[in-house]
Amino acid sequence: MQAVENADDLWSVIAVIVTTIGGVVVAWLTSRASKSSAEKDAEVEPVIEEARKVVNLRPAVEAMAEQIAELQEEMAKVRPIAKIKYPLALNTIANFQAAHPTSTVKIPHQLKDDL
Amino acid sequence: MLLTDAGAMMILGAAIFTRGISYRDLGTVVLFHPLDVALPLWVDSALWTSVGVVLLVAAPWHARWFGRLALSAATGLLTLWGLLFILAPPAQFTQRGVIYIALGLVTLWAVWRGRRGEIRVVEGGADAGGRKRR
Repeated sequence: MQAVENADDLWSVIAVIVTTIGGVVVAWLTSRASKSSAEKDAEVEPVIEEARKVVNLRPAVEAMAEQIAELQEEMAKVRPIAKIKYPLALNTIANFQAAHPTSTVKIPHQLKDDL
Repeated sequence: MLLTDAGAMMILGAAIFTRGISYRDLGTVVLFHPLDVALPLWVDSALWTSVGVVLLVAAPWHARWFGRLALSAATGLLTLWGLLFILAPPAQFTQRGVIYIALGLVTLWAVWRGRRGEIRVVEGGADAGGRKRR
């Protein structure tokens, strides 16, 4: 009977020691995890902030790209006028002036400069 | 702040504090835990209540040493409390002990996993090349 009680007491002591060690280990691991988590947060925060800024710039960049595409389209329409039709028109006016030096047709000064 | 360990500390703090003050009026509850049986109830109550209060108070400073200490004390207490159910009738350990142990370990896991940063993408942002955010 005494031996059984002693065995029970021994089991209880071992159990208390083991459980205490278990609790302490979990507490210690929590402390370590919490410390590394806080350090990681501090390291990562500026990177996240930078990424957030870059990502949030995308709509502005895309809007500008759209505007540039529209301008290019417009330029494609205007380019033949500027490169071919306008010089031809100037040439025609110059020829007309040469053929009719006394003509009273008024030529706007913006064109006169280019003649 | 709630996305950090402070959130876990506040939830645990409220739960542990509530558990601590529950000793004031146990009604017909039969206590099986070895510490509940061995110690005066006010000691158990003081233990849980104080850990709960410390957690709640330290939550805003979770990254400081006392915040870490409070959280460690909480997970240590939960795990220890759960493990000590080994000394109670076996069904008590499997019915209650494992829950305390799981709560302690889940908290440890959550703290170890850490915070996952979130990048908010504004409408029409980069996530879908101009498509709407889901």
